[in-house]
Amino acid sequence: MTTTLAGGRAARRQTMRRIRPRRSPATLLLVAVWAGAAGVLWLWWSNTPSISDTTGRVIAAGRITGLLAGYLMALVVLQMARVPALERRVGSDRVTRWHAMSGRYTLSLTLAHVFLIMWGYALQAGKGLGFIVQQTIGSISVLPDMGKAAIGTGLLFFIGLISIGPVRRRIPYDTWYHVHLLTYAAVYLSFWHQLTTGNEFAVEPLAKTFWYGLYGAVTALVVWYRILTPIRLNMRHRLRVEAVIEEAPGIVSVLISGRKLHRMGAEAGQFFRWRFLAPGMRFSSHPYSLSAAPRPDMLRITVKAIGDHSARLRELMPGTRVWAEGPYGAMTAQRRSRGKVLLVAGGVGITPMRALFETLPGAAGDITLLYRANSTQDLALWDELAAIADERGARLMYAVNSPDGERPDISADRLRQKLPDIDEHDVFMCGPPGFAQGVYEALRGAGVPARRIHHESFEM
Amino acid sequence: MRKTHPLRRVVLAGAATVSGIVLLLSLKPGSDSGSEAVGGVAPGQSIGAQESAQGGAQAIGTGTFTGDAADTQYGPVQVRLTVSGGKITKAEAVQNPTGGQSTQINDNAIPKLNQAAVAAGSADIDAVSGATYTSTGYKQSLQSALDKAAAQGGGSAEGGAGGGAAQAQTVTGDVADTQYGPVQVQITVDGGKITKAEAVQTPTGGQSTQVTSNAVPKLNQAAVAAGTADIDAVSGATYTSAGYKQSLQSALDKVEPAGGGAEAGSGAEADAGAAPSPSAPADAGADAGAGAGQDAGGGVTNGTGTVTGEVVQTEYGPVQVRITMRDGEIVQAAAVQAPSGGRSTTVSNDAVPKLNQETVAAGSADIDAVSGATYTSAGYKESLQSALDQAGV
Repeated sequence: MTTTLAGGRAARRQTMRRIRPRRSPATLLLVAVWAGAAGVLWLWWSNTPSISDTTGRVIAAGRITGLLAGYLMALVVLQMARVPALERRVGSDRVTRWHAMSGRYTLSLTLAHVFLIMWGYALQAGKGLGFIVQQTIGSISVLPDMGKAAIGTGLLFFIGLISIGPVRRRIPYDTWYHVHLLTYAAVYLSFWHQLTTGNEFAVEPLAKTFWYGLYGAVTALVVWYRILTPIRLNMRHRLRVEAVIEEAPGIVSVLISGRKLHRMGAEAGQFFRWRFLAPGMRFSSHPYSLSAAPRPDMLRITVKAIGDHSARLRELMPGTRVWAEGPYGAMTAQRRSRGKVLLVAGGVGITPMRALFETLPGAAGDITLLYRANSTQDLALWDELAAIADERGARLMYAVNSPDGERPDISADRLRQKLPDIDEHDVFMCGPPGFAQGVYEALRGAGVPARRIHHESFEM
Repeated sequence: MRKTHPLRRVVLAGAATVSGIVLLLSLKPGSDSGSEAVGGVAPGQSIGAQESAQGGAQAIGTGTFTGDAADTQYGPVQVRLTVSGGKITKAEAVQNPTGGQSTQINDNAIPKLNQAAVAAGSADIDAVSGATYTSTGYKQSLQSALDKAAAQGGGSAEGGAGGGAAQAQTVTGDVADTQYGPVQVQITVDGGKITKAEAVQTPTGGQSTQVTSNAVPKLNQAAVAAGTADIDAVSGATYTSAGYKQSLQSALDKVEPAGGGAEAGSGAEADAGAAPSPSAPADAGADAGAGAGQDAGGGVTNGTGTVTGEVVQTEYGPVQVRITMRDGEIVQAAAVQAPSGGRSTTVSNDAVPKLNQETVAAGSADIDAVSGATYTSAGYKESLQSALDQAGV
């Protein structure tokens, strides 16, 4: 069978060494972020001997919000720098959610900063809140780098606007993504006024050095991991489409060949961002999971036709050049803390589960796969899964809607009934958000601790 | 996967941020603790200074005094005073809050405060409205400069020996008006060379702040390197450069001692520790005429005043001595030029204070050479004699 990628045993041996889970560095990173924020506040604190009236308080509040916004801005960009420690160990989905969350927060701080500072300056000039517009225009025209900062803030505001749920759903993903890249320009433009007009940086040269260091480091990471690393990866591996295979109605597998693919360091459960250099597809890149353990000469992804991009995949011609970035994703064997593992797949979420099902080390009966689909025809890759289950002595279960369309019962009781020692398992899960939420609650009800439910979700 | 309402997070983050900022603001002291200290810290000193100023006695030392920097909410303020004859003849801010709105505000407030300080002659000046913080800091630093001046005046009897680098002379050039605002240069001359140049006034506001902050350090360096006003303009700062050169030239003109009495020229200011003038006694007039100077230049009249000797070339460089007379006696001696560079600096730093002391003690040029500084001593004595000749002693 051409679609079956052998090599499961070798891959399993490779991961056998690590049954002890690697801790996610998330806690450490959060501590560092808070420490940095405390440092920024201290900078303000040490440069401000006293505040005695409303004007002083408003301006001080404007400075605090401005400093925090400047600090967080660097981190918001850093989160999207595709740093391996974040992508592979914290998890791309989690980092993306952090990015969205801190991006919204930073934008709010920025707007608060503009409002408070301009209000404070208006008060200083002996005017009230009504003067704020003239004051803003005045400050932009007089103070150094404020013109740039105004454009940058405008851009940020615009980017924030099109990222609001209802607006974003009306815009094609690619358009939204490319507009989002303007953030780099916005951050660059608003950086300079921080140094030239920022009181804390005018009086404290060390702070200036630190600020340059922070933004310099983030820039270096972005250039390295978003530009140079992918270039090197693709120069080295020379990926091309080998074949496109229909697995089930609307679900295709794309086989991708290349050189020395084992040196990409990809593991089962991870994904790449793929860009197919075919007409109409070259300007968008999409994340798809590997649906088989990577082989030295071949990778495979399996995709369900949901959007424009995924629907076009079936028309890919063999030989098409492929540009990949990755591997990303933290849902690998490293997350596992116990001997027994339950894999839960919903629909096309089977792809990373299929790779893990093949490669996760374990004795007969240690590994169980629960596969949920609408009907038996929709159970893509079923033959392969059955073969793997046979070979390893693993358990394979499926749950489909009954002929009259009734949904199968995946409840805590039912799970315990099927798998009496379910609370002894690590659970890896991949599927649509609603499904994942339901299963999560059932698993918790069945006694699986939250820290042993491993899940990646790209819904924001 | 835990279900949280998205709004809950927004409300939490917002509330936490607002309360955090409010907490920070409320933890800051309401009024400047430093400014309270001005009233409380050294009442004796400041009252003393004021009293003596009123009494007409010159208990405030002559020279340039820089107050301590006073921190304000918007940044530090530091005031430099030029005191002459017990009065503030000039006040300027060498540091003031910059950045953001502050630049605009201070461009307006600082000149007013400078004027007020000169007019009042004390730190008892009104705040400029709209610049409360700067005004408070200014007054605080002004008071500290006055305290230093008072200390200088009181301690001048034994003060001369203190300054190893007592030869330095600080001169401020005339203000040169440019299209973007005034430029004024202050130079420190030591051993016939410009050792330091700085702009005490430069165009500020808008683009000027940026241009100036880039150009002025270059111009300062060029001035020190060239030793003359013949320096290149900084590109992009043509007007500032032209004004700078003009003011620099005027400062240099003031430096060159045209005969003995030129030292007393209006533009020349002795640096803080350099050459404190003596306290004039209230009965100075009693001795009028007793030691009337012969020098037409007016260095010493009625046996009181300052006179500078001729430059004497030694093997290691020029030596020039300045003495201050009162009632026909030398009350202070200082070298305005002494060999410097390499070992000479060390030797001069050691020898010159000793020679100064000896001069005051002996009251004549009949002093012993300092061992290890034979050439400097010889030059010193020669220049000292020429000064005494000029003073008619």
